[in-house]
Amino acid sequence: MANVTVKKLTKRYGETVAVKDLSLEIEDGEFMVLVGPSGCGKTTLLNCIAGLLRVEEGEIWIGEKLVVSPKQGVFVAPQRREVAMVFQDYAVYPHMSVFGNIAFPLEIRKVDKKEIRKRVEEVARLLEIEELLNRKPRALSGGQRQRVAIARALVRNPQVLLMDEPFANLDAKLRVRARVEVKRLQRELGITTVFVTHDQIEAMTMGDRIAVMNAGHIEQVGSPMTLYEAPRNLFVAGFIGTPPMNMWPAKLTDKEGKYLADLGFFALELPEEVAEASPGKELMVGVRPEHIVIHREPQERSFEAKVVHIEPIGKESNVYLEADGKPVVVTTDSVLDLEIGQWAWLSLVEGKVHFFDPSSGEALR
Amino acid sequence: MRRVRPTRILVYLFLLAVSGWILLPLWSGVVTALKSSQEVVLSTPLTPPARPTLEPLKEALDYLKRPLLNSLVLVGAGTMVSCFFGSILGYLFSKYRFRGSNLLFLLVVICLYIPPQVQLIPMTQFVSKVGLYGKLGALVLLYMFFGIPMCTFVFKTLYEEIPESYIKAAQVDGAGIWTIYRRVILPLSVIPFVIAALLQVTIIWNDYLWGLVLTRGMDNMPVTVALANLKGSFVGAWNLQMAGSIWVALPTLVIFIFLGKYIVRGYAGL
Repeated sequence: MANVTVKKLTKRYGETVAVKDLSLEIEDGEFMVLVGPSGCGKTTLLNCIAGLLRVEEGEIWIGEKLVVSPKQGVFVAPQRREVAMVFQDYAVYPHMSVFGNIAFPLEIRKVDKKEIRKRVEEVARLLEIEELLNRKPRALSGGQRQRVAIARALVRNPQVLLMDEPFANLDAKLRVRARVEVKRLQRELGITTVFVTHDQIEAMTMGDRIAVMNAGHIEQVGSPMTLYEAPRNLFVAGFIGTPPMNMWPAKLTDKEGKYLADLGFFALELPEEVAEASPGKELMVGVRPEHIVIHREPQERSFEAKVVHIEPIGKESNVYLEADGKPVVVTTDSVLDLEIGQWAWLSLVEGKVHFFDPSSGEALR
Repeated sequence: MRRVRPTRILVYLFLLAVSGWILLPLWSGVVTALKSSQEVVLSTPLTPPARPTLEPLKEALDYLKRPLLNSLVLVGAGTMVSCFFGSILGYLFSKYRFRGSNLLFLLVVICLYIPPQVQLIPMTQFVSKVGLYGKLGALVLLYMFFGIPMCTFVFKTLYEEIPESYIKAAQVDGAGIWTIYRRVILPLSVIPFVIAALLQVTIIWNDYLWGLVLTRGMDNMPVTVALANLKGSFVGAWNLQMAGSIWVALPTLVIFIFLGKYIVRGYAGL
């Protein structure tokens, strides 16, 4: 196994910059998820690590081996990088049997026939596709094809496993199962994995760490809970979590020595260090839906809001409200018998409120 | 009982009439080829033979034997060579975009639109410079190269439907450009080869102009040119001409009937 180091990588397609001065350290045996909206450069970064794309600037190291450095004229071909890749459409060859597909990387490496059979059977057992070895891909379901693709990637014991939205073509139920299985497999094998997805739930549930990408650069790298509890900026705060974090613009005021964030419908007391860190008089206040409490009666430090819509999702409900015309989403597990059009009082959980500078988007702490 | 709508009957009557009209020349050709020279003069081109004879077919085949063989050589060599290069070029153009590849491909496509009449004189000069003028070899060479742009176009278009990820996966798995061609692209190429070959066979078999200009004598001439010489010296030997035409049309007809099914099957993904 190996760690992967990306240093100041820049990749351009003609005039457009797909990846800009990007650095990322992926630990040995780590499950790293690259997540971001489409066009953010996550697949491009993956292809650069695989060696399917050449870059303009920067370096990529796999273990102790420098594989990309335009400055030093280094470009190691994909087949010599010891990486394997699983594609969104699986790229399972229709003219070869399942056995042929899995054996393909070994055959190209001129591995001994007996050894090939042994290793293909081994990896097929691992992925529970032994009975399918003689079938042609067109006789397989989407989930089975995906297992074949993963088996083909694992059969030559790569240093790094790259996965490009491998679950995008699976239906919702299978996707949940695939998530658990791939994660379990990765943990058992301890293989360094880079996983690209645009689905933040997939990212949260699978990643040891997550790199949130946007417009060719990384907004934040951290464990799922770090990203969730301490987003570094507005983008990460908005991208991670469903329903997304409530964001309200506010004005910074002070009254009797206390700093307040005036939301219009509510004056929120502001920690001193936040007020001092704020460069201007404007700021953004962010609260996750589960950090707002709904009351039926007026409370201290609460504000009034009108229920517009209720989304029951079983264990809990998303309640959509309006406070002074501004939207508020609350996730609550208490059964409140709320009705649309009714008024309620909302209070914010202390210590769970995020503050951002609206001009730079950076979190104020 | 299902009622048949009168419009449907009209449609079928119309289709029958059109089919009859289209098949009329074929009918005339076949019946004339089965008549003796006397009967041809005495009957209309549409009346069936009173005393059918295979004599004209035998005579025409005897005359066209050598040219038929020549054409077979031309078709075989021309189709194989241009399909081979077309497949490789199509693969490179569709899967390995390089600087200027679009422009280069455009030039290849433009080659398809240069009328042969424009190329007649330079080609004739070239062929006589290399000492092949009048020989079958001149045509072999010509068809080999002239078929490549068409084949490249066909293969490139069809290879574009092969997912990019097949290539990428093979690259990551360690395959080089030729291994990918051999192991991944070529096994998926049955349909492109059939379509390109079908086009090439028809074009080469039916071509008249190049054979007329570049070859001399029965030993070198393609069958289309020889057929034109079958017109008879004093009177039009219609039965011979029609018999010859049947021999010339037969191979392409058979190929179309046989491979036409194959193409439909290919498109249905079976």
